[in-house]
Amino acid sequence: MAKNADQIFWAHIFDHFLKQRDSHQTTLSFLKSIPFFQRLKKAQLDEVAKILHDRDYEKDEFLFEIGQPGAAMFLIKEGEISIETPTSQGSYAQLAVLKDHSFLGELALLDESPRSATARAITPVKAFCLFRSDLEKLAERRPDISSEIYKILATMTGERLKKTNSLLKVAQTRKREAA
Amino acid sequence: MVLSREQRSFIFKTGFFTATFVIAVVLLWSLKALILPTILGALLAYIFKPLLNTFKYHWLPESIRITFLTCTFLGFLLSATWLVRENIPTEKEQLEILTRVQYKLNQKVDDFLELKKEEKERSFFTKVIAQEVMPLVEDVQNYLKLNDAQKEKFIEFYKKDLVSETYYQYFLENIQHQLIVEKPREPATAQLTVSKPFSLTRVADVFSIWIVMPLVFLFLLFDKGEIRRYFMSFVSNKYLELTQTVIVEVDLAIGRYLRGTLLESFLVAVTMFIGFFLIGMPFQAALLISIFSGFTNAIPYLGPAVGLIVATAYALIAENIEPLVPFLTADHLLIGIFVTVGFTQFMDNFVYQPVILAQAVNLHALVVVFALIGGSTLFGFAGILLAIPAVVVVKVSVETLFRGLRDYKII
Repeated sequence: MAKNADQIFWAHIFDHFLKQRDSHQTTLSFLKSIPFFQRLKKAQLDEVAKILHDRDYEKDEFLFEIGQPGAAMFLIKEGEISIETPTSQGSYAQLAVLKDHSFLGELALLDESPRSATARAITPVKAFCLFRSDLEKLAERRPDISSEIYKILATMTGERLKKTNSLLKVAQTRKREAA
Repeated sequence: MVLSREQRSFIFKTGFFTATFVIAVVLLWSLKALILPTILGALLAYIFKPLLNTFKYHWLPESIRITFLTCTFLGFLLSATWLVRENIPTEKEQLEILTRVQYKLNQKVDDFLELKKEEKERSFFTKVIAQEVMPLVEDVQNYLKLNDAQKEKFIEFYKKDLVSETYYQYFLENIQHQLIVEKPREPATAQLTVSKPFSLTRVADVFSIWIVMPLVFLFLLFDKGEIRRYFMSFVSNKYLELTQTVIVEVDLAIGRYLRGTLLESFLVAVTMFIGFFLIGMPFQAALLISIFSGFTNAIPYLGPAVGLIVATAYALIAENIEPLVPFLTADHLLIGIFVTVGFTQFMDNFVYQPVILAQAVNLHALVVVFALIGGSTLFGFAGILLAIPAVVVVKVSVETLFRGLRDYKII
């Protein structure tokens, strides 16, 4: 039996809401897969999802460049990103390649100090962008969520510092042995 | 000729934004009656936004908090409307005020310029002043005097014993005074006329326009960044972080400026009210003049002068003054007003402004003058009030944008 205009209209409305719900569910499960948000509960993740900006990057497009003030952290949904620094010859040296479900630029959540490297999309990329200013506003409304995020950020920064210290120690020992 | 994707994108975006801009300008022009309530709603939302986080407890659900704040705001709005309506003078009171103001003004002018003395008894000084000032005084007198319909109405009220004998004497004195000094002139058109018949359509028109204000206020107050995020989705990736930085900084600066100015105006109003009350002004007059002066104090340079003029005008017509300060008498009201306004300006310039508006925006005097003239030309008194916040928005936006463009190495 052919659908009448009313049925088509309501089907479109329901379809729209179902798609919205599915997209929200996908975002939540994506966030759950990122270490930053693993400790957050569903209701807290809902709040985080509300402040994310959905962005698409084309191949070779920059997410940010070295020296620019940092304002946001990026969460990669799909695609690959090359982390690079400029060399003295004028080209770029690749430091790492980041793939789906990883994140970058997280130190921008703390302050606007300049980016230490350039991030360039090497495939088409779908990403979420989380701004420091939005996180600060969320902290006013929901300190429980932001404190969790800051706690994880502090732990990660501490671990990186320990790693850098031990690498430095190894390098110094090698240098001393060589001398 | 086949265009590349970039070229097609550029043509589409340019065309789209030009069309949007043109439509926005046309819409703004045709809906300009809505601009003022919208701006006021937005300003109020800015001012009250920090309040949202004040009443936050883990046991209080957000929905209840929002409902409570909305009800409080609507209650405040209704109370303010009721208060204003209650204090609007009735037709009889308006006639009494006009009669009293005219009488007092005539009395002060006659005393000051020695108009009741013989020509040869008057000093040279008063004669010269009178020559210069009389045209202005006559204009004011013409503006204040009752027209025939109002005179009939006044007599009607008197016959019904609704007007006191004192006012009737003032009324007679005014008529006599007019016969002496009046030149044959047409009465000013701005004179108070007999009240127009009550029109539901007019009320509905005003209501439908001003209903926008609480709506804008509530939407912006409870917005958690959805509006900004929507507009950010149109920004290209290259300018994403820059745009967010500029928006956040402008938002902070405007919020700080508006809240600072409001607090400063409030303190100015409180200081003035205490001063006026001490020099013997009646409670209602002191309250109204200090609120008005505090409100206009937000207009640089012009505001303090407006406050002084209003208070001085009141001093000219004041009656039954009983100063609370022992060494003051009713005759010293004008001196008291000058001291109060001077003290308030001292406090404002050396205490309130440095403490409250230390981080706010500084504007050059010339910019302020041009903004005020432009604002008054476009939107009248409301334009004067809103000119400075508008200039602050533009100044902060341009400064932040240029700093951001340099930081992000775009220029």
